[in-house]
Amino acid sequence: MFSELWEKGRSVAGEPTSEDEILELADAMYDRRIDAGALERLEELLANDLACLQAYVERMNLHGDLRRRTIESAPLTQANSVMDRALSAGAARERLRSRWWMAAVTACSLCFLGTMGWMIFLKTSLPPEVGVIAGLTTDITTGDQVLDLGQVVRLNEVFTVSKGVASFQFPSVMVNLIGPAQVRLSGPGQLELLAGTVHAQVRHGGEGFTVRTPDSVVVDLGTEFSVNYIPEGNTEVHVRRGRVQASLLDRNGAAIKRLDLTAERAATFSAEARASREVGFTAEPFEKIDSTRGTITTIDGMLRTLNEPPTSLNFGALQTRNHGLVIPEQQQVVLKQALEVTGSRGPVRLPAGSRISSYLVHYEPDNLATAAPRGGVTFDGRIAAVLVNHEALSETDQMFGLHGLDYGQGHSRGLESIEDQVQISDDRSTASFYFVVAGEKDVDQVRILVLSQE
Amino acid sequence: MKAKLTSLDRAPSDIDDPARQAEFLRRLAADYNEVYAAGLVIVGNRSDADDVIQEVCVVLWQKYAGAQPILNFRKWACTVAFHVAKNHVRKQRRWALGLSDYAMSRIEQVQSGGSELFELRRELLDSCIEKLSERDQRFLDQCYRGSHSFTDLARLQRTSVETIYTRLKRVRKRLADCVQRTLGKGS
Repeated sequence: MFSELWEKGRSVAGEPTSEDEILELADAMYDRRIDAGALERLEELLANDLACLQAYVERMNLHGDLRRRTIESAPLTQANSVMDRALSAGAARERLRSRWWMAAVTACSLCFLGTMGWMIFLKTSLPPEVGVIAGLTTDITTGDQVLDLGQVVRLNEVFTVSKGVASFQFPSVMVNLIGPAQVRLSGPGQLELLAGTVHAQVRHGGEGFTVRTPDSVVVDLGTEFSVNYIPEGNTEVHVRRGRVQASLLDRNGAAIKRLDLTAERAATFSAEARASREVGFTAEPFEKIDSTRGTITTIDGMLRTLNEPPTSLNFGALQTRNHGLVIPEQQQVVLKQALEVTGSRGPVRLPAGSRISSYLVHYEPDNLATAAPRGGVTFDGRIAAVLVNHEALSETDQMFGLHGLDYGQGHSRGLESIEDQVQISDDRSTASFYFVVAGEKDVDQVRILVLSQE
Repeated sequence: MKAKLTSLDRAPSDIDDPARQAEFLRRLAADYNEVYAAGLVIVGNRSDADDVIQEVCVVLWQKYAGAQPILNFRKWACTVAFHVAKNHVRKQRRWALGLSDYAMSRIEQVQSGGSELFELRRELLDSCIEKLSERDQRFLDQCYRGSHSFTDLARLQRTSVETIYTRLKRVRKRLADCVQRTLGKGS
């Protein structure tokens, strides 16, 4: 500030002498108008010019004398007054210092208690639970994130799947995250799709489940649908069954257009282009989920699913070490005539017209297997029969097995050891397994026939 | 001395001795102008100088009460004032502009060596002020009393701050020239 004024003055009055300059700088210093540039110049003159140094000190003495003249006339009165003020200020400072220490100690204590309280609060008040991880394929890849079956998932958690499929069970809703994809659990009954594809199966009671992307909001009205979002691209919604309400959003997230999509219809949404249009339905994401999970609702323990159907279950072709595999086979097979099979508890008669979905549980430990896998699988349907012996499995491969899958010949498939166990829950929706690791390695397989709800 | 001096940080033996207090005050009053000047030349402005002089007085009393008899009070008091003022500037430099240690050291040397000359100039200043017009004397008093900032002063006089500075600069120059001229005549 002062250096600008000084420059301005100099340009008008011409080049000042060093003495004029130092006096102006001294005045600016005394009047508290000096800025960094002027102070630098003052320092320079004081350091290099004795006459300037002398002039500066004289000028400061002049200021001091003028100042003292305005306060008191007698030096003794001045000294007395200053001493009074100084000692009062000193005593006040002492009191202030003591109060400050007390305040500081109190503040530290409160801060410590607050921090402890906050830590306890954080420990004890986690975000609310919104669901559990109900299934993971064997090829699941998540980067740094650890996903485990049965793991409780909470509000606002973000899940990233690079490869494979992670299944989340929410109340009346099953969501499959098909890698590569990323979601955030933004609220009860809703999630935000940040990238990739999710598949949702919504049962009665789960209506209103919502998937949001930057382009669209998809509200389920009781159905099975998939949403694919490509960041910086668009969002595609495919409906396999039932109906969804899908809204196009603008850049601010406000709905600007709404579409009702019914079974086997699809639409694409782009917030950037502020456009939505219907496109051809594709069953691909649904078939992928069918082959991975079928109507499985939850899997727990040491059981996994496969991302792709296997090609061979011959001895040695698909070893599973410390976990068992649940492989969805043919789905929604309608029996043209009654069928009698041998279940774990004896013969079971399946009447004509029954709609059956089949699942094979496969366990073939390798030489490094150390733990006997335990686990359970729950279906969206009633378990009609569990086939556990070699003959019953072979007899039903043709009817319920996957076409093109080599189930193998010449090796024992069923549960041969008396220690292998299968339990069915009272409501017949869950089958639990315990496979032993026997000295002589073999293949343990179980076929589960589930009556479909439809 | 209106207020009774009390112990602050230390409790020297003579701190409550009324005779010692009276002696200290008398000696401080005798050299008060020099002590104030020692603080001001280092800190460079009125408000900091006023703060520093209070602290200097406290330190002086603490040291005086517990010390051996001080032979050269002025020299001793000014040394303390320089020390306190330099520490004040060093603290202030963390968030405000202030002179370097080197500049402060050179200023201290000049101030210490010219105390008699400055005393003489001080005496001449009184007569120079009397030569100013009453209006200028009143203006000078307003500027140095510190009860109004320059901005307030400009508002009161219905003028600009720059006009205040310009007028003050002119009055200061007249006083400085007067002192210098009188000093030259005398010598």
